[in-house]
Amino acid sequence: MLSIGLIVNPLAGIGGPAGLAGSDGAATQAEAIARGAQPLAGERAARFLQQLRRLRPGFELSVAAAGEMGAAVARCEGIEPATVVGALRAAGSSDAAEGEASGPDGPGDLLGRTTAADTAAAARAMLAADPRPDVIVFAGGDGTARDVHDAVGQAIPVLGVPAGVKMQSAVFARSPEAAAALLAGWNAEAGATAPREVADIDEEARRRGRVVSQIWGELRVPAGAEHLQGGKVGQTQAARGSLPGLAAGLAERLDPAKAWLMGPGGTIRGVAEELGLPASLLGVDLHLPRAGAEDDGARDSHLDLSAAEIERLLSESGAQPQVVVSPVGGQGFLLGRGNQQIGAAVLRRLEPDDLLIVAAPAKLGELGGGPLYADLPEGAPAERLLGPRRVITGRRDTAMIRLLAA
Amino acid sequence: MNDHTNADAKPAFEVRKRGLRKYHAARWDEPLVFELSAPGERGLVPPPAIEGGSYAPSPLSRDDAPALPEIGQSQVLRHFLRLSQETLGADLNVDIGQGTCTMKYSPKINERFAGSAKSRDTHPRQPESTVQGTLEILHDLEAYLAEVSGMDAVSLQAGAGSAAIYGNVSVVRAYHESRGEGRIRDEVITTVFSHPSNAAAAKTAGYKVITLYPDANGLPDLEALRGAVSERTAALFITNPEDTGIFNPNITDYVDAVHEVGGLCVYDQANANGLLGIARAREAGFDLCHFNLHKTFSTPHACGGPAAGAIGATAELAGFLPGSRVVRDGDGYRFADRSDAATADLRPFYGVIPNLIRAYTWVRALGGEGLREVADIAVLNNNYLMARVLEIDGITAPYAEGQRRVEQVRYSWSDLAAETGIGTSEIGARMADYGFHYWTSHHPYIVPEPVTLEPTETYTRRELDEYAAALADIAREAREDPQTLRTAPHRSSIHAVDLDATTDPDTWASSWRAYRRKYLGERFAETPRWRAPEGLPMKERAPKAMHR
Repeated sequence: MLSIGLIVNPLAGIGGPAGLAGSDGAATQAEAIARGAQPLAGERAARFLQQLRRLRPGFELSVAAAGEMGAAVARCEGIEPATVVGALRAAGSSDAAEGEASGPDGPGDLLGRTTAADTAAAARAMLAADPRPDVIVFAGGDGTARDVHDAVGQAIPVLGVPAGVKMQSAVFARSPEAAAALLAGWNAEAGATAPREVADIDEEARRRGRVVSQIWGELRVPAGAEHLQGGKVGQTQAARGSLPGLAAGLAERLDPAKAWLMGPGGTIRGVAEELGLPASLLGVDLHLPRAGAEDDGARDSHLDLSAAEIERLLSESGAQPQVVVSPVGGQGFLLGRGNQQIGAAVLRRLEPDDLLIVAAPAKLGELGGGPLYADLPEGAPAERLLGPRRVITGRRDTAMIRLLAA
Repeated sequence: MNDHTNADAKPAFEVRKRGLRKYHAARWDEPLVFELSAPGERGLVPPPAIEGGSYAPSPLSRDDAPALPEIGQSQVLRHFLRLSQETLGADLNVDIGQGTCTMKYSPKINERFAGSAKSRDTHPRQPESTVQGTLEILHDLEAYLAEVSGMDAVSLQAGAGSAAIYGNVSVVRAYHESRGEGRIRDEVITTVFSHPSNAAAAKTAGYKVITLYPDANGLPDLEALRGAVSERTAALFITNPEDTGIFNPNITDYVDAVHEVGGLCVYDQANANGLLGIARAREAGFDLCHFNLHKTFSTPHACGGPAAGAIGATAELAGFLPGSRVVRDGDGYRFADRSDAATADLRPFYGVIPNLIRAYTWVRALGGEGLREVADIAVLNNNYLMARVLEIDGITAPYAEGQRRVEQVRYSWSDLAAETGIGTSEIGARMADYGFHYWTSHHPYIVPEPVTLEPTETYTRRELDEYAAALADIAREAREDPQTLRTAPHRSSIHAVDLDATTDPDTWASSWRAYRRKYLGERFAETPRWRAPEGLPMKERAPKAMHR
């Protein structure tokens, strides 16, 4: 029997149609509503519940966040949550009201009554619930994914119903119906999950014309990759099996005399581990050649560096850099992930062949065969880096994929 | 009292079939033949062994009897007939779902010729003067394939398509080695929509492989090819049309890009069925090509073989071809002397003779005009089916919007999947309930939720309509009754197979012995193997997988 916890971010997606590139923060939300935007996440969550009821009628909604954050949506579908957690603040009051509010008069009614903190609190409450639901399902976007991740990390399976503007994270099903199909076929007892990246774009920077995005971490998403954004059948085997090949292919191109700058993400971390190197998931790591240790291959490793630290360490070492990156999230971004660390100066020093891109064929398939995207910092040599590029796909195995400006 | 003029009276038995077929597969729940064994049961009683006589030298003769099932003839017949009833094979179903495989009718008359005692009772070591009929057939088949491809020399030795591709890789390697460039030319370029055997054969022969992915039109990215070619390029292995069915009208640009850097161009003609008499490898500028005789040339796919592959080469490369050509010699035929530069044999002797006979007789029955008609009808059937299929809401044919395809189409159910959460594997499982089947795509899936259909020239309009109607009905069911669809098949011989197990070698048992060992816990004496002498440096290898 499948039991789920439901969190709806009722303001998710509101900024999109209003052209605001995102929905974070009260000021943006107010602007969106002033422009006449209507919240969509509730309707998305309702579609998810309708389809799940058709495909797996015996599921239990064991816990829902209060009011428009879940319970009200479920009740509209005739589903009574066994437990309700949290509460929306009453309109105009700073006290939390017990139980859930009645349907809003309009989206403006929700303003100020539900925030990121409420999402996190609801997720924490679900993690602590007894009995704990098999999976937390949230309807929202990257911001909501971040909030859930900050609250529960990898402690419980999580699945996203897409309802946001920003969908960089790899934790969303392709549609509310696909989310239902994924859970309908999921064996909750076995609880098989795969780690999928949570990524988010800095909205302020985006509005100023820069796409600056980061990985925030990983959520454990129920296995059923074909229903996720770009996923395919049999991916668990493919994903497990591809890392040694990717590492071998990368090793063919790593120059022991050069400094290796390794980007963020699960693939790079996996490949680094295969090569016997430490790795940070979220940050950019630098592995310098150790003087006098050319033969045994020992490296001096520095993890999760800032751009300034990278510059300093490279100058001190005097070694030429090689940059190793892999597309992360669900949208094929290559550079622009933590790009404030891999700065223009480093990219200018790169021989074009020293930008080493690593991706399993399964990942390229997820991305529809490319193209990949890069948000290059000011002063980076775009002509040298963009265009058709070799991507390492395995041992003695590469693919030609286009790298385009984001 | 019956009123015989009652207009509402219906016949007692309705013989006209309307709507979708009410198919139900046989389901015998048949045990393994080993479990049908009963001690003392015999199918035939062999004559007693001659005392003191033995055909086999002693290392080959057994110490104990083989553990074969003891079972009577009638039981053997019944057992295998039942299993055959549960197989949705090419004779039984409208097999247009197996795209790229070209599942056309293998004319039964060709079994008469392939099975004729005049061929069956021959041996490859017989003197050539005693197998002139076979040699004439091989000679003429070489000439037909040379004409179809425009190539100068043909080798019929390969036992399969992948073997022919490997043969072509060997020719490429030998060519560059003969020019002193074997070491530097260590890269082969191919495309993600070509058969994976192209990359695999190149890898096996030691090449690095570069794979081109499609551009926005679904054609291999030409600019990417130009970025990939260099003095290290040994060859381009490419198919046209690719598995999408889209013909690449600029194929000569790709050939030129590779020739400019001194590489060779190899045409995988697995998808030749829509091109017979219309377009040839030679005019496109290719140096080598191969055909799968079990595809365009109708030999049966059988049980994943036996098959046959043919290689075509320009005169410049003919000397590197494996095996021997058949040449006329006065009034008769003989094998030409093997060229010194010939690459290694792809199999013992001359090729899979029964399949070469079948391919020959198929071509003879059709003639040049008939081959052209095959292509015309295959293309027509495919575009007709595409028009019917695209009427279904929720399926699309990605790339080349509005354009026709050649002989097959790669479709996508991604719209339906987004709408309902039902995807290609569920729909494929449900097709079994109509007596149909389809193939999705090679991995990785570039087109999401893929289906690849190839009607060939064999099927009738009625059969194509029936197939499209089944797809349409399942699409309707995805919206109206997804639960039934999700738990399909319901009317098939077995239920859906656990996909993860098919890719997990630890679960495999390809023999009864392996099954007993892995699943019943029996232990067997280890097969004696060669052990390295002390101190001999041995390569580190993963433990040998044991599935037999």
